[in-house]
Amino acid sequence: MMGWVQIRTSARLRALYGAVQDEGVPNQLLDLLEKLDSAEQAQKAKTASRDGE
Amino acid sequence: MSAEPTSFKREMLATLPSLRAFAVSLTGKHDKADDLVQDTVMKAWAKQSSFEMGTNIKARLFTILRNEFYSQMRKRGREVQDSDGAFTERLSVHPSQYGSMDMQDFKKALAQLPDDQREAVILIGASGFSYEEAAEICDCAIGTMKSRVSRARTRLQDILKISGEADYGPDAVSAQVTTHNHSF
Repeated sequence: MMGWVQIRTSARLRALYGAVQDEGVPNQLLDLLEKLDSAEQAQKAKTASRDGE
Repeated sequence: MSAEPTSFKREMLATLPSLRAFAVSLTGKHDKADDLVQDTVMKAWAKQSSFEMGTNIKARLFTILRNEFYSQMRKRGREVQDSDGAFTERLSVHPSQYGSMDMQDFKKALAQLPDDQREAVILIGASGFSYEEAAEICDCAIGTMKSRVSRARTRLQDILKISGEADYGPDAVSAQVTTHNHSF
C-alpha cells in the first residue's frame, strides 16, 4: 500500500517529465533527422544506380 | 533489401520527446539537453546497422545519451555541471495540476539527490523503463537499480515530509496516478 506522500511524489515526477515531453521536439532536431535520412536515401540511390550499370 | 527504410527514423522520432526530457533531467538546461540529444541522434544514426531487428531502440538511445553525457562531463569537468541538475530551469509548459510553490519544492528535493539515484528514479518513475532496462541503460545490476530507486524514493519523501507535505492529504492526486501506480 503506497502512502499519499509516495503517490504524490510519483505523480509530480511524471508531471515534471511530462511537461518537457509536451514541449515537443525542436525544429533543429527534426531537421537533423531529415538531413540524415535524405543523405542516406541519396547514398542508397547512388549505390543502386552504380550497381545497375 | 526489403527492410522498411524509414522505420528507424520513425522509432527515433517517437522516442525523441522522452529522450529529451531525460536529457533535461541530466543537464538541467534545455540548450545543453538539445545539444546532447543531437549528438545522440548522430551517434545512433551512424550505428544503426548494429541495431538488430527487435532491438529496444528506446533503451539503446537512452544508453547512448547517458554515456555521451558522462563522457562529456569527464572531458569538460565542471563546465558541463554548471546547474543543480534535474528540472531546475523554467519549463515552457508548466505542470498545471500543481501549484508552482509545490513544484519548486519538489524540484529542489530532486536536485538534492545523488546523480545515480536521481537518474534511477527518473528512468523507472517517469521514462517508463523496467528495472531490467534501466539497469542496462546505467550499466549496473538489477538489484543495484532497485536499491537506488528505493533510496531515492525514501529520500524524496523524507524531504517532502519535512517541508510539511504529509499534512496535505490526498486532495490533488491526479487521475493518472490510479492508472499508472504500477511504476515507481
